[in-house]
Amino acid sequence: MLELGTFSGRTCSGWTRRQMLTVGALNLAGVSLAARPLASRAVGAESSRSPKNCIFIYLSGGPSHFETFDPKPNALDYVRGPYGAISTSQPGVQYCELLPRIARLADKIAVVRSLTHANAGHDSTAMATGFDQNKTLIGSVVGKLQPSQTTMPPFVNIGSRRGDGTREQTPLDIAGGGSFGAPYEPLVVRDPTGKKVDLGDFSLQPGFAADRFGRRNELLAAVDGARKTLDATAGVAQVDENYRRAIDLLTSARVREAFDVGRESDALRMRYGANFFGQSCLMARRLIEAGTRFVQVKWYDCIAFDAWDVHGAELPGMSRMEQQLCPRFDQGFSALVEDLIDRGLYDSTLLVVCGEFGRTPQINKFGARDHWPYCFSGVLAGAGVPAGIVGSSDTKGAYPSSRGVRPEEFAATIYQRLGIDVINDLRVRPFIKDATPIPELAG
Amino acid sequence: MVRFWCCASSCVWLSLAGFVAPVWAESRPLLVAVSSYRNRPMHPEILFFKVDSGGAVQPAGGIPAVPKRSDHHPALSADGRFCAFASEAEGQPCVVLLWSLLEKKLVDLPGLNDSPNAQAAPAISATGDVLVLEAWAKPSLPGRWDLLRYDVPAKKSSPLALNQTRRDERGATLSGDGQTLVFTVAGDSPRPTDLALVNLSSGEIDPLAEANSPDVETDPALSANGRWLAFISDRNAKETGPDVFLFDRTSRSLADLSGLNSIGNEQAPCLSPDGRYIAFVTERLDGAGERDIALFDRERGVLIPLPGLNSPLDDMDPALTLAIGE
Repeated sequence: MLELGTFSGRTCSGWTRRQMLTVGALNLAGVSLAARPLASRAVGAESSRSPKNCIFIYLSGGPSHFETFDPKPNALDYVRGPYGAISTSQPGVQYCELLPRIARLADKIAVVRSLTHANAGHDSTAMATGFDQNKTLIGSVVGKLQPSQTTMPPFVNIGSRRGDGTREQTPLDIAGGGSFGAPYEPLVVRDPTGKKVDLGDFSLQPGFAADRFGRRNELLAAVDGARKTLDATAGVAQVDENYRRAIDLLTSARVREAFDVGRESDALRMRYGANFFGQSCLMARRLIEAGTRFVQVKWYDCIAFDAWDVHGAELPGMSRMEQQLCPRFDQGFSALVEDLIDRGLYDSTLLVVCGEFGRTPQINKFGARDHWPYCFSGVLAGAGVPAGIVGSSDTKGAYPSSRGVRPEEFAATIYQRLGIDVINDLRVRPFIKDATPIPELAG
Repeated sequence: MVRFWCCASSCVWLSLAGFVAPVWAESRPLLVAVSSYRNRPMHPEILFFKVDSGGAVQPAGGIPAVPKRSDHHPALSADGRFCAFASEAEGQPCVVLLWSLLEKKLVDLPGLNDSPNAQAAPAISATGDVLVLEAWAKPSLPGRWDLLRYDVPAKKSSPLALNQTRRDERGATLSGDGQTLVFTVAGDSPRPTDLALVNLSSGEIDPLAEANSPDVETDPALSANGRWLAFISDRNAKETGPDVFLFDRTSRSLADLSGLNSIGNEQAPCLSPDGRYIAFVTERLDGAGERDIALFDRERGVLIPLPGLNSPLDDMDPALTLAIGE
C-alpha cells in the first residue's frame, strides 16, 4: 500500500517500512512505499472488449434506500419516513426529494432497487468485493486482469481506510489486493480536500532537487547489489518494482498534477462541493482523465459520525440525511456525472454507487432506520449502461419483489462493463462465484 | 468599521398588524449559538459567541458538554436569556432541553420529554415562554413527525391542531410573541416538502404560496418581529445548490439576497430579531472547515467575517439574537 497524506503504510511480504526505506541507503523523502509493481507485465490475454475506467463510490455505513433511490411515498407511516418523493427526468421514476440534482440526471443512470444479501453487519465486504469473506477489492481484480499501460497508479482509493491506530478496523479496510497480494492494494489518498492534507507530501520536499532525485534513481543499481545480499524472496523483487513505481510517481509532473484538485477552478471545485466527498469525486475524475483505471471513493472514514449509518440514537439522527449526507452526495455525484459528460469521459467511465446494505423498512423509536441487507439500492451509470430501473422492492421496501440481485451479480455486471468477459475469462470466476451479469445492464 | 444594530438591554414587544416589533434603546452585540464538533469529533456541543459592532468575535461559553451526548439545533430566545436545544445521549431518544444563559443551568421542563420516541429541533418564543418542537410518533399525537407546543411557565404541553396523521410536520420556527408558527409539511402530496404558516391564536393556516416552489423548501426561520421568513430551497439546485431565500410577509414577496448564496450548499438560516442579519451554514473552499457559519448583513449586502468563530470541524445549526447586557 502506498499512502498519501499519512505515512503509516504497511508493507508487503513481512518487510517493515523502515527496512524498505533503508535498503541501499535510499530515503525517499516524504513518501511511504509499499508493494506496487509496475502493472504493465503480461498477465494473460485481455478480453476483446474495450476496457473502461471505473469510479466506485462506496457510501460507508449503509445508505437508506428509502431516503435515496427507492422512496415509498404511499407506504404506511412507519415505512414512508419523513421525506417525500420527487419526479425525475426518467418518466415514471421517483427518487427521494433529498436528491433533486441526481433526479434531474435519472435519464442517464441505472438504479438497481433489488440488491439483496444476508449480512447486516458493517463487516460485510460483499458489495465492495462481490461476496462476504472475499478480501479482494473489485479494483484490485481489475488491476490484475487488465494491467495499466500508463505511469498512473491503476487503482486509487480516496478516503481513509481505518485501522490507523485511532479507529476500529473492519474487514472492508483489510480488503485490498486479497489473493493477488499487496502489489494490487490500492494507492490510498486519505483526504483530497487540500484543507487537511498537504499535497506537497506527494511531491518532492523543498530543497530536494529533482536532479538529486535523479541521482538517487541511479542508485537503484546499488540497490540491486544490496538486494542480492538479502533473502531472495518474491517480496524483494517487489520492492525493486515499488521503488521504480515510486520514482515514476514522484518525477512525473503529470501524475502529481492529477492528484492536485487545486488546479481546478474554484467554480468547478464548488460545483462538486467544498467538502470531502465533493473533492473526492473531483479528484476521481482527474485521476481517470490522467489514466488511472479504477478509483474507489469511500465516504469519509468514521461510521459513527459522518457515514450513512443513521440509526438516530447517539448522534443527530435522520436529520443528518437532510443536513449532511444527501446534500453532499447529491451535489458531488451530480457534478461528477455532468463533468464526465462535458469532458467526453462518460461513455468510457463506469460509475458505481452502493453501500454495504440498506436500512430497515420500519423507522425506529429514534426516528431513523437500522441495518437492512435484504433489499436495497445501488447505481450503475456511464460506460454505456442503459438508464432506468432494474428490479423492484415490495411495497415496504423490505424484500425484492422482482429480479433480486446478489452482490456477486452486481460485481459480475461491473466486471463485464469494464471489459472483462465474465463468462469466458475464468480468472474472474473466483470473485463472482457462479454469478452472471445483470442482463439488462451487462451490455 | 462595521456598524451593526440599534437595540436594547431591555425591549418592549409591540404587536403591529400581526407583527411584533422590538423597540431598542441601546447597542448590544449579536449572540450566536452554534452546534460544533470542534472539541468532540463524535459529539457536537452548543457554543456561544458574541459578535460586536466592530465585527470582533468573542467566545461566550457554552452549554456544558456531557460525555457521549450530542447537543444540536440550538434556538435562542430573542431576549437572549434562553437557549432551547436537542440532545441525544447514546442509546437514548433525542430530547429537548432548555438552558438559562443567566443562571447557567437547565430549566426544569416536567412532562416535556415523556415520549418514548425522539423529540427534536425546538423553536422558542422571544421570552422563552413557549417552545414548539417536533416529536416522532409521540403517543398523544396523530402519527409520524408532529409538532408539540410546550408552555414553559405552566409546565404543560399541548398538541397542535395542525398535525395530521399522514403528514410530517417538522422544522418549527416561532415569532417572538409565540403566536406565529412556520413549519415544514411533507407527505400525502405529490409535492416535495413545503413551508406552511399557522396563527396559533386563530388556527388559520397560510400555505405561503408565494414562498413555496415545486421544489423542496426546508429550514424555515422567522425573525422575532414576525415579518421576515428565511428558508432553504433547492429551486436553483442545478446551478447553485440549496440556497437561502428570504420571504417578506409584508409584501408577500421574496427579498433580494444578492451576495449571500454560493454555488455550494447553504443550510439552516436564522435571523436577528429585526431581520437585518442572517446567519447560516455554508460550505466554501475558503472556509475554516467543511461546514462553517456565515453572517450576512442585508442592509449592506455583505458577508461579515467571523474570525475565530468557525473551526476545522463542522460548525452548524446557528441561532442568532442580541446578547443580554453584562
